[in-house]
Amino acid sequence: MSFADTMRKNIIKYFEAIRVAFAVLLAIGMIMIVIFFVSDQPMDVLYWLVIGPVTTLRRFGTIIELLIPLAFCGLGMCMMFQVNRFNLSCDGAFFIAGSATAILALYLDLPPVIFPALIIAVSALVGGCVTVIPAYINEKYKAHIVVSSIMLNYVLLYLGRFLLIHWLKDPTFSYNGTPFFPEHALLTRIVKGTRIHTGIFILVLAVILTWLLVYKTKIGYNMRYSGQNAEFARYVGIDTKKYILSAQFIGGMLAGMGGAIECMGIYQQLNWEVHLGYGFDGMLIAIIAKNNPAVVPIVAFIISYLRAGGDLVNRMTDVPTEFVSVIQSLVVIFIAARALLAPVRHRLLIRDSMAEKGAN
Amino acid sequence: MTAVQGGCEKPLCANREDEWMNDNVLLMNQMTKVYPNGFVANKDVTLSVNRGEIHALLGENGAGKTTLMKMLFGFEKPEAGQIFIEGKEVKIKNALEAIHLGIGMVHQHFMLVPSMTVTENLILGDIPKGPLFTIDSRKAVETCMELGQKYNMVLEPEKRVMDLSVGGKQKLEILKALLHGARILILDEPTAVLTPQETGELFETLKMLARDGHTIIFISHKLDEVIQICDRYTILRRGRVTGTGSIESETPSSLSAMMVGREIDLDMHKKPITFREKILEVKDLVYVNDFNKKAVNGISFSIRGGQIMGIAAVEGNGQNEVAEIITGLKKATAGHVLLVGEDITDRTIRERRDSGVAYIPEDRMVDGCSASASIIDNLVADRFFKPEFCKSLFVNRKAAEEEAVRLIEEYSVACMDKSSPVGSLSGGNIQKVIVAREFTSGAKLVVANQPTRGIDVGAAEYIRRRLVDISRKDGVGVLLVSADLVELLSVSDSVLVMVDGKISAYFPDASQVDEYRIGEYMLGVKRQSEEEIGGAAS
Repeated sequence: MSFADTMRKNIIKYFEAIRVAFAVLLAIGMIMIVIFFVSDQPMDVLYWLVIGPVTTLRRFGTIIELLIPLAFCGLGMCMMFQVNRFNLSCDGAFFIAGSATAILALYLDLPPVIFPALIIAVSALVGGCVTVIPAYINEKYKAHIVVSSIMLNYVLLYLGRFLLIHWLKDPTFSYNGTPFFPEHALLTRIVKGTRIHTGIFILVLAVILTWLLVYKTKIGYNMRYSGQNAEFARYVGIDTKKYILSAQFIGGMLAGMGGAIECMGIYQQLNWEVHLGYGFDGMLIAIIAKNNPAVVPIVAFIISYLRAGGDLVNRMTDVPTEFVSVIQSLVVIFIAARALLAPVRHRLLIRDSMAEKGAN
Repeated sequence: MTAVQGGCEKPLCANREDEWMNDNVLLMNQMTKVYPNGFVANKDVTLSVNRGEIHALLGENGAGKTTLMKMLFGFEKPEAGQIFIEGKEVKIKNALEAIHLGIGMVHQHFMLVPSMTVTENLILGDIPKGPLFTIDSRKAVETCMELGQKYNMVLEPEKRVMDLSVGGKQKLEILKALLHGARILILDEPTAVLTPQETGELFETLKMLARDGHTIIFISHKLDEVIQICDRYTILRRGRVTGTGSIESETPSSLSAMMVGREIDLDMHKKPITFREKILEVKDLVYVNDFNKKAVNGISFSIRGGQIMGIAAVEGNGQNEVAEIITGLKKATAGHVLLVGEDITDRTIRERRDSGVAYIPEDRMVDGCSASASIIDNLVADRFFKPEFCKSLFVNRKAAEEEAVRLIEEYSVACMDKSSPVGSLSGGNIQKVIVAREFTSGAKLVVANQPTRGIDVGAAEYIRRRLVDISRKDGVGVLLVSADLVELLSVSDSVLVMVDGKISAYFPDASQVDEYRIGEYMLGVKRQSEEEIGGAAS
């Protein structure tokens, strides 16, 4: 086999990664064209966007801080997508888990380690229970899960706000926020000069466990069969309803866990008055990661890197932060465009199969 | 005068001396198509069709017939090759252009709007306009009648398409193509859904159209029919042409040899055996469907070990419901299903499978497999949770893969990589995957619903043999539902005929009846006495 043939085979093999890299470059390239028109310091913009996030430890820390909630919601969405239940309930689960966390942290008192562990566990359960609701009414009453999950998010948002404003809030603050949580209810910060906290270890554990669950266990097999083709799963004797609801429950648990960890690790109080939008980001991450939990942290890293870079562009240059959202959106659109570079791949494949025919 | 005839009288080629060129209506020269997944669907395929002939396009599923036709219709872009229509090179970019060039296609799955009338369906795409934005409905009905009379395919213009018989729908499809000016008619497996009587009618129509100067490309698996009606043939195998010529000198076995690369024995060589104990008993089964219609209306029959019971029925007469109730996909409204004397009417699908029911479903892409899942996952879908494939909570992937490899070899599934998605296989191989799983699940009863529909001759023959094998060797009871009467009669030991959810005839010995007699009962022309039908339950 000639060098060209080997090269071609490799390109076909790693095509997905090459395509994503190309999409990122293409998006940045396009945005640079615009920036050349609106900014007086285009090279600075490029510097802060691409290099900025790794110039100091604190800046790098912001990437990891953001990665944690993003990855939890990404994992949650992976579970829901694995059973083919496209819905938006991660946002609500994340938000209401914050309320649960605040109540427990302020009204309970337990020894260190056990205290945050219990809070995370209970918040996860709360998250799981609320996300099962739209899935259940979808199974039972055929209500469209997208609609019912959006509606549920409103219910949870205003329930959470009600709890915060009428009960949990510390009236001495000028904003709607609970008192700060006691020290032993918090997740310890582990890197000096950043806000990176022990939640990162829980994330690592969650990624591994979710991956094992989905791809290695009987339960995961049952879930994937139910998601790939529910008719087929039913026909081979799988109780599809049970596994769809379980996956939805576990997905909600992961989002709830993310909410609790974010609340205890970064905010150290509850002052959320709107959805933080991590549920949407999680959906995006799960889609790019093709529902594979092992890929979620990598995608979450790329997204948080872009965000961190964007914040720096906003602070250090004359380009407003809105532009950064445009860049992010462009990257996602390009990555999501499955057919991007498809003609190239097609040509390579043809040449490859022709070469093989010649060899035979 | 309609566009149909106008096309025929137009001078075709300035140079009348070249007789061959004049006669040649369609030439697809050296067509090559490679799909994005690297599959070479067509390689240097040449199809040459002459005016007024019925040309058979033969080949197994996955041989590239559909791809070739898709390129002709502009659905797929060829990598290489040219298309000539009446000697003139054309580039066809979409179906509309193909229609304008006089190519018409009658699909296997009808492209009709069931809730609209015959006339409305006919004029879709070419609506006679009245004043303002109205439709000239009188003219539409006239067109419909005229066209029907001209081609001897009269249909009631005001009848809704959903009330038409299958044969009627097909006539409407053909008329639709003719109305759009088709001079080259492509029929994709036209007889797959027809009764023998309807097939006869269709053939008369096709012969008449050919005499009238139309050209017909006939895609089929049924070699007897091809020999009966076609003039010339082109055979594809694995994307390449393996034979073309005049049909006169060929026999079914010589054609099938070119299709599959070896001789096919169409006889089952079934040994008569004495049947064992009752495996399946169905008692007074009733099923009321979503439209509040009794799709199954009080039927009773039984199957013994080693017996193959066939159900013959025109599409939609309750045979699917019976199969799905026995296997648990549908719930019976009334009546009982007994497996080896045990009542399983209210059992779940998993419980039925555990007690020995296997099912080859009618629609392999919906129920039978998970197209995006790997071949391995499809093969072990019904057993991955069993102790031999698990270590506590975890699935033992190695054991599952070994099982898959064993099944792939035993059932000769042709695949490059056992991890590639099942959807990338040909229809015949997908069906083999399903059969491999269902036949090795330790079943006492196999329900096979259209097990060979739309798959290649080689795979179909293989699956029929396997079906006979498990009944003869392992004493499994088989319920076979098939629209292919030749298959049904050659495989089954006994035959039931269903009309309107009821059994209309029972033949204890399938070798004593032929497809024409079955056809009469299927269409409801004849009905046996209650005693004769009652024999099915004993």
